[in-house]
Amino acid sequence: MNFAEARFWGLLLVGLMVIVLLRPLLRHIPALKDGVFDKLALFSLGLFLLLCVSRVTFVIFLVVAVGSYVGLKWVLQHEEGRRRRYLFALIPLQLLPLAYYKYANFGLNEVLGLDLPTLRNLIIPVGISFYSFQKVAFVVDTLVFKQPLPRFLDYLNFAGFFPQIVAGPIERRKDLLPQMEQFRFRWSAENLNEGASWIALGLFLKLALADNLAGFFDGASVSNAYLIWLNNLIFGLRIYYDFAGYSLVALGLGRCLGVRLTLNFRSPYCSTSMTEFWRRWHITLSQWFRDYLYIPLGGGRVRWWAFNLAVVFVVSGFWHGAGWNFILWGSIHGVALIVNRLYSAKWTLPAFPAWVLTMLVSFCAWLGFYETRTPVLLLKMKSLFTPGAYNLAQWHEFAARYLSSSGYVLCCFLMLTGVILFFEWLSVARHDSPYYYLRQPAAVAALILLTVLLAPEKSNGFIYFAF
Amino acid sequence: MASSTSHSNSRFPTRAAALLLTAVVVWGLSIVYTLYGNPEVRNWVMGGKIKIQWAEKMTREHGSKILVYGGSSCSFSIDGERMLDRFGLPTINFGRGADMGPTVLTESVLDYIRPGDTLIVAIEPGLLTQSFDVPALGVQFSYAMHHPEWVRHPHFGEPRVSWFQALAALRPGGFHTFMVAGRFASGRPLFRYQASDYHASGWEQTEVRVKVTGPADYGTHLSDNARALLRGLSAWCAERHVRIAYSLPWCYTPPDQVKSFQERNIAILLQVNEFIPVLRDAHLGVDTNLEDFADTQFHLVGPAAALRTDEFAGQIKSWELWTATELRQRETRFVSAVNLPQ
Repeated sequence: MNFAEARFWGLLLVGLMVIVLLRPLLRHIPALKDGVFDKLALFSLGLFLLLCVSRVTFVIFLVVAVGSYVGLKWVLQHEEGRRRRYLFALIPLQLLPLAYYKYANFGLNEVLGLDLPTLRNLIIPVGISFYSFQKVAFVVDTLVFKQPLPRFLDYLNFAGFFPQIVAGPIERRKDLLPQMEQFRFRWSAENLNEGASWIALGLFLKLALADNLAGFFDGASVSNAYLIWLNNLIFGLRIYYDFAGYSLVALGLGRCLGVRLTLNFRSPYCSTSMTEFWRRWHITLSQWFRDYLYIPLGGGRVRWWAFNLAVVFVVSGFWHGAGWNFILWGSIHGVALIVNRLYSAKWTLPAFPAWVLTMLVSFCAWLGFYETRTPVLLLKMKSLFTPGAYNLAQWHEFAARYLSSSGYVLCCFLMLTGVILFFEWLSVARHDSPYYYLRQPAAVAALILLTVLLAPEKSNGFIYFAF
Repeated sequence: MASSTSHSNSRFPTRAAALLLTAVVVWGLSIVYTLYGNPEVRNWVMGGKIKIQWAEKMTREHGSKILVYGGSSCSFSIDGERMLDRFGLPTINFGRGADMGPTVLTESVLDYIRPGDTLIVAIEPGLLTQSFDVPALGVQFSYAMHHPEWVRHPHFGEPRVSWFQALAALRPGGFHTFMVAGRFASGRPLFRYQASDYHASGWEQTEVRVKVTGPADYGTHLSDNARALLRGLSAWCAERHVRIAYSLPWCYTPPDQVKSFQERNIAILLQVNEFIPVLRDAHLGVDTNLEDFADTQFHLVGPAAALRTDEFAGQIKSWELWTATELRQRETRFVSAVNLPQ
């Protein structure tokens, strides 16, 4: 489900038209009354769109979704005291497809050196990390909060709500399930207006900013610190606008259908501390780790809180990808958060230096995200902290590469990004409402204009689809 | 979007509709700009019309003719008027922008080929070693020339452009928008090349001078698309009794890189030779004289283009071709750097 492709929108339109045509005919059938048709139609639409992504993705999703429900039903048949024990068996089963497709090659071939060729070319089913985590959370919430097992169709819609199935947000039972239980296809001008604004903003971030910035990324240089920093900057901006763009389109699509999804990004590059950064970046994943890993480990009120924090971020890095680089990326963030917590009570930096420091750390850490070759990653990281890598010759090399029409266009895109970040900051500072100014009617019209003008001919895939 | 139900008569989603309308209008305007206002497309269209006029004149006055086509290396190299005046060879230079892609470069020539003509393929090797794609410029040029079939239904297999891909390509894009805005703001010409750069035969020259580096960097294996194109084109020409050959463009090459560059070119020529014959140009794509180039490693200045034209005319007249054996021998015994006389 690539929102940046015309194919997705075409398929969605076809699916919705079929629903609109069938609805007056079928919804009066006794078995389909009381909204059953609408729920069935929504689930069918989601499955259809998922099937159009790939058959493997479709099958794996169904296995995880149905398996989780059946497993939970089985656990609930047992007396309360024994449920927790079964829960510990069910969760690994839920994560088994994820473990196989995403981590088997790394664990068995790279770490243990078994050299199993069949694992080398496994293609990770789109969205598996997201929906696997959502199902785990569902099972835990149902058991821990002693919630009843929902009706199967409502559960399927919770598990497979198409705007968020492949790249989140990772929704919780209490937020999404009640909406699915009440779901009806309703014409609401308010929802459509609001949803359209989010969709337009999301598509702008993805097509006009992320996809164009992607064209300037060149991670070839190992020793030139200026080039490495520039690539970190380009990548950091690209991945934010790529993922936030996707999430905002998902949010807008949900809103058009009358479903309120969680806002996954709240202008993270306006943060003045790493703690704040993680309250604004990929919010539903941070909350997932907080509730299902950090707090069970003891949270922040125990003496070993730093260990807990480190574990969470190493695991978070590993969630993003099976590779040492992702572990390093997570570790950098973990260390930064520990330092942040240790010193925030003693020293309070003014807002601007605190923002600069936060950005330096987060953009430095992006190196660990995009550079998957561990030896090269270490060399690049070393260059960033070597004064010699900032010498005049390196500067000349940097300038020679970017004193061109390509460099000029990159500057234009970076300036445009700066304007967008400024409005993000203004929205947060004045209204505590992310993207407030960018969602005003005139701004959205301007963003549409810019999207049509600036979007490259071909869109890049969404980075987070690989996770 | 939410589907409609018969029961609800809520108010119309004005804002959503206005946004949709904005997108449609802006897209429409960007198509109009691309086809009629984009200075790059306008330049190529103007050049295209000049070349077509010359082709029609040559057909009318001389019957059989020579058509040479490729990217801009071709456009800047072969002087059709010189070919006619000095050697009596009616020649049309159908060189265009390499950024249009091999499919459009080829398709845009086919309409002007008649039985008995000679077709010289002078596409840059870099275009033949990559998978084909129809870049935005190719789509824009095709539509601006009122020949969408060049990209929608090309003669020689893939890639075909769907109507939506075409629609997506008929927009300026970020690079173009910012470049034009910058040039406009600084009072510079909106595109590097001008209408006055074209001579009557379609041969192109420019006053622009940019520091040139070289040689061009490309692989040594023809892409599957290139093989399909050459195979198809060869058969198409055979059916129509059209003589066909390949001519390697000249590229600026520093003397210390002559050997490796020629080695690469020979590897490519050997593969091209499997489908169409290759004109025997002893330079093997190398020109070590920096002053022969205007603004890129492929754009020859007037005197160098005259030399290239003269040599090209000689090759055409005597139909000198490389044999595979000769090329293989060259692979092991490289020619030394060739310095062209001024």
